[in-house]
Amino acid sequence: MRWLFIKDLQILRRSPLVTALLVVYPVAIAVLIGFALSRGPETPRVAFLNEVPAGQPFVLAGTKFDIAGARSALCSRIDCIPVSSEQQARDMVASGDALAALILPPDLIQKLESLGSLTPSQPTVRVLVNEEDPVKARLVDDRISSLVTEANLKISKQVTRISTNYLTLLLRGGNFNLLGQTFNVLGLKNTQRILEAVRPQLPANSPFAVALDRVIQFSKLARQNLNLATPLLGSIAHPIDVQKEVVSGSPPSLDAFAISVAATVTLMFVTVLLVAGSLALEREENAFARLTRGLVGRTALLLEKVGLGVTLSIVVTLLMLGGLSLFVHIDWGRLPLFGAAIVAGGAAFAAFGAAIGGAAREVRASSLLAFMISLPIAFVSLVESGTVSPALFDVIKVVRALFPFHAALDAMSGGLDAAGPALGLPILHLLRLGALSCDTWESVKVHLIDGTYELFRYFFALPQHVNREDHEVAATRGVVGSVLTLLEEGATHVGVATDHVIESFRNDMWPTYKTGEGVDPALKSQFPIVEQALAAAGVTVWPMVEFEADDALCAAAAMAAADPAVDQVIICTPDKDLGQCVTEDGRIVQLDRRQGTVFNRAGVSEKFGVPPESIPDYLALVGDSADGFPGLPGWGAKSTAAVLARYGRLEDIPAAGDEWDVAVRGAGKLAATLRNQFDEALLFRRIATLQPDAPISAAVEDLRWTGPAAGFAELCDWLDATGLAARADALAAARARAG
Amino acid sequence: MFAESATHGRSIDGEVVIETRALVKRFGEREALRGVSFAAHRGELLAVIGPNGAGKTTLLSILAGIRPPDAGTVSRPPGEIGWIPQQAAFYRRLTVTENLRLFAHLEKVPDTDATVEEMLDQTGLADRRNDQVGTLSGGNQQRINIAIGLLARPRVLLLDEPSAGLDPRQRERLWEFVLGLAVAGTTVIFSTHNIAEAERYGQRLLVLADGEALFDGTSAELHAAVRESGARDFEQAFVAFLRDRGH
Repeated sequence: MRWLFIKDLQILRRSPLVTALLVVYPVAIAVLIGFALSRGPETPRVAFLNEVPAGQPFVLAGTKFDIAGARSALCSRIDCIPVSSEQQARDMVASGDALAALILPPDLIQKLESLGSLTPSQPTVRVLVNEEDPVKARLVDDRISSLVTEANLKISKQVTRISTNYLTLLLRGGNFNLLGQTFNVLGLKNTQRILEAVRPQLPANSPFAVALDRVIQFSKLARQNLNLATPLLGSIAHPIDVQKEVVSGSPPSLDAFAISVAATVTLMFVTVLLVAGSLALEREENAFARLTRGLVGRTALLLEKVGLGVTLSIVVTLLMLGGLSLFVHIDWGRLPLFGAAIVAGGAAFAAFGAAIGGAAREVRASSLLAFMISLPIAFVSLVESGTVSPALFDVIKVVRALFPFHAALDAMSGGLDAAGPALGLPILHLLRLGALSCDTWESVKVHLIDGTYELFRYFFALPQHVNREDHEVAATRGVVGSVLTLLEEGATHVGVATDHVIESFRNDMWPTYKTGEGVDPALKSQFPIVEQALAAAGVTVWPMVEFEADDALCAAAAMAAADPAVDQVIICTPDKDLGQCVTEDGRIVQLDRRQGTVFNRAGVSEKFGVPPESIPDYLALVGDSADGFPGLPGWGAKSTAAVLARYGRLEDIPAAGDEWDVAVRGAGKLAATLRNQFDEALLFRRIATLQPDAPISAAVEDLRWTGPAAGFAELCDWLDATGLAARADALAAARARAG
Repeated sequence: MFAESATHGRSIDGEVVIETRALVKRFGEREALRGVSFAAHRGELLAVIGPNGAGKTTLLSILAGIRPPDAGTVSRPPGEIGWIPQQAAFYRRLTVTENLRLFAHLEKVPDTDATVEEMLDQTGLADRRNDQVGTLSGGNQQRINIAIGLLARPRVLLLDEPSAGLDPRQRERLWEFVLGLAVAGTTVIFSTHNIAEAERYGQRLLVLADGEALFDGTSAELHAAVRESGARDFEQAFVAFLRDRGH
């Protein structure tokens, strides 16, 4: 992987446009966002035509308004562009130079002042707008409405204050100016006081007493009610108060959110495009088949690409954040937190990019596909709840859950700002999404089982069990259970080879080669039973007649390893013969299931002292008592390993012992033996060499386990092992659920 | 060494290094290979020829282990096959040396630097070692393509249309290179559309048509197998041979 990683960096270095983009893009984004955030929101440009005569004061009920101050307050909210005529204002709005035009008519002040008089006249301002698109129209409406509402509010307050003064005058009395004349108003309070003073002076039976009492009562009532009217008038100016309560969500600051969006978008585009393009490049350069032919596993290639994506995404995102910190404050003390967000987001985006790159197969198509998928996902992920219909938002939630953008944004927000969302869940979600994307590159492992070895093993390990038809079936039950365990542990592609007939073509090559003689009949009789049971369990079985089970395993391993879709072939047997099938690239390994030991090339070399390709030569010299050929006299495991470790194969061993440059006791004698029995040694090697042309006739896909056949339950019943059928059914159902 | 020793009286020149039996490959309904069997020996140059769609590339990709057969077997030295695809498989933005070094590392060649130097020497591209491969001529690119296939010192080299797109001079240099490999003991199996090239460089010819092996022998034997006499050259004889067999 290291060399592929270096290669990808070299290719990036030689692609100036891509490299420049990787640097320029984050810097440009940083500068844009930085300027946007540091300068604050832009104010809309509004043409301002003031037709009110210059110097005219605005006095409302004796209060002089600060017109210059009002104008500067207004122009702090909008960018006021003074114009001298309505036509100029119209032109500016029509051309788009101004968002709108605000025209203050000449009689505005008079009409405003009339609001404080007894004959009010409603003042009007004119607004010219260009609603060329709905967004702009809405913006204009919102801005102008907001400004007019604010102005109305201020004037309304003043009018209310004037009204309140009138009411106070009515209540308490005082002087009142109208048309240059001063009037004295008695007021209800004084009226009531005068009347109450006059009332006792009336004769007891005066006919005016009752009428005066009614007037005094009215005066009292009027005072009380008008007292209530004052606060009522005050509330008109501010009729509704708002009390906000946050029931859900923990928003970061607006700046932190904007930075998070910028960083996540950068992270997404850089990583997805880079990984998708890099993977597609392997196919475009025709290197994919060459690499996956045995040099690199598909999973290793995928991991290398994800590693490349994560590494560069960290660099690019940190570069962007570094640029941004020149404009806005970024808390670098939180680097471990937002660093974790970058790594998790980068990994998820990289895996997503790998899925795209794997599907597209060429760089241009992968880039296009990456853009076409990423952009709408990012856009949709920014839509907030309550802004679209509930049904549409449900769809958006699904998209957010399936693609990494929203989770990455949450993680980034949480990482950058303490007020943001918690970091843990988004990161877990991102890692899960990354793993799911990687699963699109199904890693196929093929398990090849030595059925003969398994049957022997269980025959001697398990107590006997005779079924209702008087057949010994214990070993069969053990083998089927063992294969089901392998499947339950996650194996997907399984093949089992058996020696349907123990004798093979090798019996014609050497007289003492192993036969079925001496094999317990109770064991021998189970070969056809176990073959039938495994086949009924849905497992591919190769019962060998002319060849041996070992040959079938060798042929199946070669067949499976030749399939680029296969990551690894695992030959499940401790038999030393199969060591010769183990490959240097690790695509074919041997597994001793009992010990849990995997033998790759180094493992085989360590166990036997010779590499896999020398195993037949090794067996030719030391012999194989289990298989029934003796090897050459005097050649033991140690001397053979030493000599073959040096020379590799029989033909390359120097004929004379004194020519050997390896220290072996009795070299001269061993060399003489080899010289004298060389043809025999070659014969033993042919016997020990597994035949990759054994008739297996199966493609890798044929080995995929899809569940038991229809008759498996009955067969298990016959084996007195109904639990096996239940296990197979449960496993098949679980796999069907998992898809 | 025993290999060269008269004591044991044996020759490895005739050793079969790769063999197929009844290979079948289907793509959907179409049978790309129909029971193809042949064997190739050490140091042999075997040309696989046939009309378009005969199954030549499919056969080579199965021999290389790129595709699995649907039936039949391939007996080959595990991990000792060099495969040179028709379309060059390397990285055009890397230099000649960088490509060779990368694949040497991936092949786990023991002495990477020495092997790379040897390949640069063999390909005659030592003076272009620091050039990006994409800037080289088609002939030189093909030599790099072959050199990558040779890094692991395979016993068998599979070449799919190796001279396609090369000018005569480049072809000649390529074949000089390949013949040198065969002399050194590498078994070379190559497919070609160029019948003259097959006759000239192939010690033995395997003729495929519609996925079937029609002929396995020398060019002289193929010539002799044509019923209609009077073919002016080998190409005419080959066309007549195919016509005789209904292709």
